[in-house]
Amino acid sequence: MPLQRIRHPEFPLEYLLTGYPFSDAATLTNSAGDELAPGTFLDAALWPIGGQARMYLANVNIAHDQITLTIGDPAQPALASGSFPLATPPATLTLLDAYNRPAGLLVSEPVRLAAFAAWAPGDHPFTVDQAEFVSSCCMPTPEVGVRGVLLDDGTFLTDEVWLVGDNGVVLSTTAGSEPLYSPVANVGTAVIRVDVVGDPLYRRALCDPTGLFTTPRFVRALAVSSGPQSFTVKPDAAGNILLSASDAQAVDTVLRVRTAAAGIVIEAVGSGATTLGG
Amino acid sequence: MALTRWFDDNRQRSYPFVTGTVGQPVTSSLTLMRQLPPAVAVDCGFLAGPLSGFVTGSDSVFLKTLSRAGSTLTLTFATTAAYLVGVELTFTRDLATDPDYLTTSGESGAASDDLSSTPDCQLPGLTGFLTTGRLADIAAVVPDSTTLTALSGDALVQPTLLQNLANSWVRDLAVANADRIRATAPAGCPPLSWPFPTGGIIPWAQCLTGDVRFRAGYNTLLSLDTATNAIILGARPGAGAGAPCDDPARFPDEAAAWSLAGSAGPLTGGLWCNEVLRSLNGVPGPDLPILAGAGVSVIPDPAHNQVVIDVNMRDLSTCFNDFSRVSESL
Repeated sequence: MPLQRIRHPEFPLEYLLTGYPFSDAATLTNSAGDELAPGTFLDAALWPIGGQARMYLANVNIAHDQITLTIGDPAQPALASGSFPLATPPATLTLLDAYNRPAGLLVSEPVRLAAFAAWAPGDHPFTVDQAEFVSSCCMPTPEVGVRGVLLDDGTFLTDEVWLVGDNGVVLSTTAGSEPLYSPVANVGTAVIRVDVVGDPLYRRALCDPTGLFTTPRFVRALAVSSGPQSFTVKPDAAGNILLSASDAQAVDTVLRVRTAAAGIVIEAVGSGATTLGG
Repeated sequence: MALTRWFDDNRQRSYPFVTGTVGQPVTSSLTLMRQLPPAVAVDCGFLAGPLSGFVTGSDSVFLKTLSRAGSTLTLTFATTAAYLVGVELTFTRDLATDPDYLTTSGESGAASDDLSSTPDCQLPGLTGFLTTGRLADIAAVVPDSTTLTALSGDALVQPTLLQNLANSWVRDLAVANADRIRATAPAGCPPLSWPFPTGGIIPWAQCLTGDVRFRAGYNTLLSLDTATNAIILGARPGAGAGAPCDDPARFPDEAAAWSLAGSAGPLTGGLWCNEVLRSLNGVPGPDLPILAGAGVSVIPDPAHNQVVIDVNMRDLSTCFNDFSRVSESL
């Protein structure tokens, strides 16, 4: 029977014995003698943000129940990583960076990844020269612009980030018209203004969720009636009304209005107790 | 033997599709997507947009439909991403005039989860390029009036040919405020109403891109920590633009709308400070005891919401025995 040859083998099979997706120069063996057998991975696509040239498999960590593969570049040995259970290796290993952003994937087969189970527990580091990926598997993703907003609690925000003012903080925007002394060009600049003004109805906010707050009925004015005359007195700018004793007809009125610890005392002065006349 | 080249290889094997998901034998006529002849597509690549919901390792891109009408060949790609349901990326070829191995790129519509943004800020859910094979070969293997539709698992694109841009960068900023705490009328008073929706988060501006600057407003301290690349927002009385002289609006035109509604009061619906009696002769509330001294009677009349202050000279010596004649009530 003549030898048969597949003229156009499927893509993964074509490179199965070549070391792909590692480069031709990669030794695939680290200083401890750990060897990445050709065909361990069938394909790879690496696009960690900030990844530079010569990305490589930087480390293989064997734990008692899972295996973690870490990729990096010469500047950052831990750009992204992916883990899989020791007992049930996947066909495709997804790589995530430190902020859980997708950073690529390694294509293999469960039976191929299961070979790592034979490695000793612990770290198995590789150098660039030992496990460099071919450049066609590596997509440069530069660290340009603002890639995320990191909060104190570790929350990492991307895509459309909403800044929301609350609890006495008010945010607003103005299309850029900054003062001339600004060192940055103003054209097209959005300005976000932050005002901290407190909350005049904070007590309602504190009590309303528990139903404790009842809207008070404020005294807004004093209506004064004296015989047929009546008038209304409103508070001044400080919310105060001044009540004083006077008489348009005589400056020596006996009426007194004074404040005491217990409140406002209205009284007349004069001799007491005895009724004169009649 | 002459060496074959990349496109030559690919038009005779599954790539750029996953092995086994295309190129199945055709028995009588081309009816199933999994029978797609490898000659149709020889290379492709895709980007899943930042809001596509694409999960690397789980989701996939696939050739959803292929149709030929006359000399027009239409290929439509789709994904299984959660927010790209119904979002398609279509390529067309004119089998009569287009060149062999033609590469074109395209963009789909926005992801369904992109509705919160303004149209200017929306990004395509799926972007990609497609290189088709030799058009004479395609015309030969895809008869006119052919329409193929993918079933589950058909015509899957190699997973390494897609880059997932989820969470890759800050696309834009949106500024909003939680609605202010609004006053409610006391029991028995007419309810307050606003000429605009209230409550929740109210957007001020969306799709802020390019250079964005922060400005310190009332009582605000802004600083930058270059060591940690942090913007620090702080508050201190009198800082920034100083103490507030007005009540900043929570959304553009809030004050104008409130004014048009006929209100001159604060935007909370409450009262200005000088509209509330807070003290009498400097004695603060909430209780204001009015005490009757000699010669005066203070008579409460709750039924009529009034207090009668009667200067009746009681307990005082007077020249008259008819007290009512000197009594003065307020």
